[in-house]
Amino acid sequence: MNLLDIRNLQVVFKTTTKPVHAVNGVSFHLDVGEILGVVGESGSGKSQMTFAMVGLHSKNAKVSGQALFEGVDLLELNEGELERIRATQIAMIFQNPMTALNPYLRISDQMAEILTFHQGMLKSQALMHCIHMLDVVQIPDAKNRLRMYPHEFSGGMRQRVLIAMALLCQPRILIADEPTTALDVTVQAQIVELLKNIRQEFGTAIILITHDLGLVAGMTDRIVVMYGGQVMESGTTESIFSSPEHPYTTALLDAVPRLDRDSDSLSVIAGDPLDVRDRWKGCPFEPRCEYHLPMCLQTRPPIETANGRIRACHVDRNLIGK
Amino acid sequence: MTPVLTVEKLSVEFDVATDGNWPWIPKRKLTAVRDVSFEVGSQETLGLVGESGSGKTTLIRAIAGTVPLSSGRILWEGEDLTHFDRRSRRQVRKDMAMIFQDPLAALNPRMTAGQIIAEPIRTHMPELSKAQIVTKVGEIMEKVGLLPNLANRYPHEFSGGQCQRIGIARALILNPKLVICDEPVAALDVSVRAQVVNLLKELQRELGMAMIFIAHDLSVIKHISTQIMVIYLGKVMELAPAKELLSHPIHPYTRALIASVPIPDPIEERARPRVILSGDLPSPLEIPKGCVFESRCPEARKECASIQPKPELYRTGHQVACPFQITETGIS
Repeated sequence: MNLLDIRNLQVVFKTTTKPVHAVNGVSFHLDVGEILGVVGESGSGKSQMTFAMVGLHSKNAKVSGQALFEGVDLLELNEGELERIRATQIAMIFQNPMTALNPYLRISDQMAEILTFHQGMLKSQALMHCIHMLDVVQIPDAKNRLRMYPHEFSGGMRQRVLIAMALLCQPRILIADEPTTALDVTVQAQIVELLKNIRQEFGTAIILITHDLGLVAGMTDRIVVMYGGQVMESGTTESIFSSPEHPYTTALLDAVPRLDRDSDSLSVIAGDPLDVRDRWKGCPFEPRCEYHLPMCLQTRPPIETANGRIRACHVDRNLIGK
Repeated sequence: MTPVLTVEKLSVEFDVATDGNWPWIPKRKLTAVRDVSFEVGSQETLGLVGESGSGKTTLIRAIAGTVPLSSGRILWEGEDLTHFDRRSRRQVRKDMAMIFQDPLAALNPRMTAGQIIAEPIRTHMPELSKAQIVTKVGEIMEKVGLLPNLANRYPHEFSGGQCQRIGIARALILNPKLVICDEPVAALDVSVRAQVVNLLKELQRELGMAMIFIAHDLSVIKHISTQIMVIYLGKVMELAPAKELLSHPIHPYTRALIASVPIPDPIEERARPRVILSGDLPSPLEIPKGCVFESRCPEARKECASIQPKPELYRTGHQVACPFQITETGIS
């Protein structure tokens, strides 16, 4: 059994004008101790998908489908049960480490609260655990740092504190939503190393949501590429990078500026990212796709599964990237 | 030919109040930019790289004249800008344009795209008639890849990439000699980022302006710059032609910076040696006595804590602020 199994997940937002379809039937799975990369541009539904999975979606969203965590459908649970799962089994870290911490409380209070509330620990015992966890995420002088307020930490340090908080209850899954976007490259490298070590040490499965293909290349085992709230392609990291089988993936890989290649101008994906307010019958990437066929406009591409790879495209796989 | 812009030993300091803003407590000095020198000619692009807090934005603000200098000189086509009166400053400002990071925030939400793009000509060339302005706006919109019939729409009706194109059109409408771009693609998606970078390059080829391009992403800078300057805590670490800096980085900081840019290829990325810098940027209020990079440098020696390295010539056009690395690599 997979640790997490998402089946045909849909998220629709009710708005005053017309419904917005943010996620349209996404399916994927996550194995124990695996790092899965979810790649997509803004508006691809990658964040909304994970929010819906753990019940953090906003009130006007309607979620359907299944999200099976060790066989239990997360979408059927009530708020109390979900809260327990979020605290102890599935933890999240967010993009902006500045806003995820309460500026009025010392780090010690914010961290210890999790353990006293969810595991019924005594405060003193909880603090010992927190110091240990701050050591794990390599915050020097953890004992004194614990008494500080969030503003006394730098951006990279705050992200470390958040990772430590997420790991306190030893979750099975860590969802990292753009964890390094707000950080500098040198600090990003530190955080990536840290996340890799955490997987080694605790066997935590990680879902890394990002738009940075470079980040995904170095640390994930498998990738899910999303566009317009749908999975375009998924497979092992090596296979996606070496032989992409979806026009969107090939275009995306070509458009990334690379430090190790000499080229005069970058290849470009024509057009703009799609507007989530629009509804389409066929493939969401059709207007920007260089391979597009007449049928792409009319029917949604079927999901093909072969050799552990999933792709949704009408175009023959042998034609792409040639 | 005289370069469009020459910056000599530029420093910018700010007074900061500490422990309450009491008049009897002396203010502390925050040095944001220290002894920066470089020049940019027409058709050239200077890429400026550094972490947040390294003084990139302060540097370009000083050049644009929105922050007073503490010392140093800025030469505009060979003439000292610091002694210009208001009228000649205004003349220079016409030739100096800026493009900003957040494309939507940089545009006035209550003006249409056409009005936004026309604003610079309305201020600097009031003699033009309405019809002339409209044709000029139409021309520039076509040049940056916007349909002229979008001129009556408001910024919120455009996507991020299109908003950035409006920003570029506004910057270029007066045919400036220098365009300063402050992280113009940081807020855009990967697929749109390539479009904007290519557009800027093409426009430069066509219009021949000089550019200063700030980004914290080396791989973007690489595609657009002729020269790259790496700054750390307000000081120049390395300045070299773009290709040379990336193929032969000398300064340990430049090397670490290059090594921390992830390569989008799983096999190469995993095979790469890791250079991970520990720690964060030191506080600019307590600048170290010796080399500013000493606290994080993997190659630091005892002497580094006491001497202040100045950028020295490594070979023509390539300056490095690290005497030890220069002697070690040898002049070839």
